[in-house]
Amino acid sequence: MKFKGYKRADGRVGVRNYIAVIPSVFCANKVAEKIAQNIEGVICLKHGVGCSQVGEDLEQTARTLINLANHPNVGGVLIVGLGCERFTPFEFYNEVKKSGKPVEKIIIQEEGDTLQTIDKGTVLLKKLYHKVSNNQRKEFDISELVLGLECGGTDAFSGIAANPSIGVTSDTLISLGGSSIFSETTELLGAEKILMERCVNKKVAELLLKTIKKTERELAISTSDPTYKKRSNLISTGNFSGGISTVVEKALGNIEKAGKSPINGVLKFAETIPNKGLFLMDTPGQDGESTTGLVAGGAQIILFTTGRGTPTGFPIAPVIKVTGNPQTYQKMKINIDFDTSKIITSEKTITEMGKEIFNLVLKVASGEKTKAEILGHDELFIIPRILHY
Amino acid sequence: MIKNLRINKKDNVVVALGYIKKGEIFDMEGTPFVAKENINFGHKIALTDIFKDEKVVKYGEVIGYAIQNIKKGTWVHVHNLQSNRGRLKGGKVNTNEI
Repeated sequence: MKFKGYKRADGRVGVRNYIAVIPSVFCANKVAEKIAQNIEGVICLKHGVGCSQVGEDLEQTARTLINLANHPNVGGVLIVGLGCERFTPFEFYNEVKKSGKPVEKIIIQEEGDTLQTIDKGTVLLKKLYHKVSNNQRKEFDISELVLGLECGGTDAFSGIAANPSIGVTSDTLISLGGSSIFSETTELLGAEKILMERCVNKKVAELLLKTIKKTERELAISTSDPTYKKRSNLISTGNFSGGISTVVEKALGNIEKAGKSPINGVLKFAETIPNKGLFLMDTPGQDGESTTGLVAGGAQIILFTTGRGTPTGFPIAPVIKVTGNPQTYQKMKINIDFDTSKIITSEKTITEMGKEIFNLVLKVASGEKTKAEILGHDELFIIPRILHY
Repeated sequence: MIKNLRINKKDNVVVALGYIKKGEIFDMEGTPFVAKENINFGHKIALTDIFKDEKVVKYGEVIGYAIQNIKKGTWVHVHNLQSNRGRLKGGKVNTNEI
């Protein structure tokens, strides 16, 4: 099975052909944004990190920014640096250059001020635009695709309709040689036994358990602080209203989206998927942070299930919204791409819905825009911090 | 008659596939049952009597424990069901539910 995408110098295939302006530190956000606005169709990946970070925390920021810049959905990159940041724009530039992708950089403290940097940056961006905008789609095998599996605004129908459906979509892609990544460690508490049995070997199973236990320990300390008793629920009020009573119930519905394929490995946040098949990525449960990790890991398309309904999107990757709740679909048709509620009324099976979503994935991979893309939603790009000081 | 979904044969709760009003008759695993309280769309109903500290099972797995006696056919939610996962118990991380 084939789709039409863009081949990149590192061998990977993109489903979009974005030109991205990326600040290496938040201090360069406004300058980066103004440069991007000067050229049609260019996007800016503004973020809140890059200053006063060390060790693992800084490493995660660097890995996320490098892997997003090198993402196959991005055809060219302009890096905007401040000049004194610890993750230097030089290191950033070199890591993108190595991949063979067209890249330029500009540094505010070298240019002098906001206006001079915008002027010179716009000229560099125009140069990139000429290189990248003529890229043409070509046919590639479906095995080049990596899906990111995400859920947000869970309700009782996520676990019985939407998540099992995208689980079938993911299994179908993997059976054809493709890949999927699922995430959100906080939403795996209670599902570890089932997941461990699905790991390809004991080493992966042990790493999976260790990852969940580490998150649970941190959560348990936060949720048990009597000072913040009123705000210590592990799941949201919307989850409660939607019929979810416990974190374990949420987890058991959540893992349905990872289908039945074997789990090949556990990835760090934003770590590049090393080979084909299904992987778990250790991410926070926050929709934006989780999705950012999945895209940085190499997912070209996000399958995002939502029971309560959320309009969000990601700036460089199409997000396909799937719901299992018929009322949510009726209310949010403008935002939601696919309704699986016919499973609840027994008009369709989970397998039928999963295959239909797979066909939609193929169309989106070849260029069809998702509802989040049409409406310009881009709020899911958030780089999390590990340490705060 | 409003239907309910039992996800796994081990489950002692079912999911309401529609709004159930108090006094209304709904389908309980093939048997008509009179609702003793309102039950919201997507929420859980006890398939059997579940006593305090007994397991509540959905997806064939323990999703938590009853914190009070739950009568067959009544609503199962945060008022009578709790999990200790992700919480300290006696100052320690509770792992006996893993």
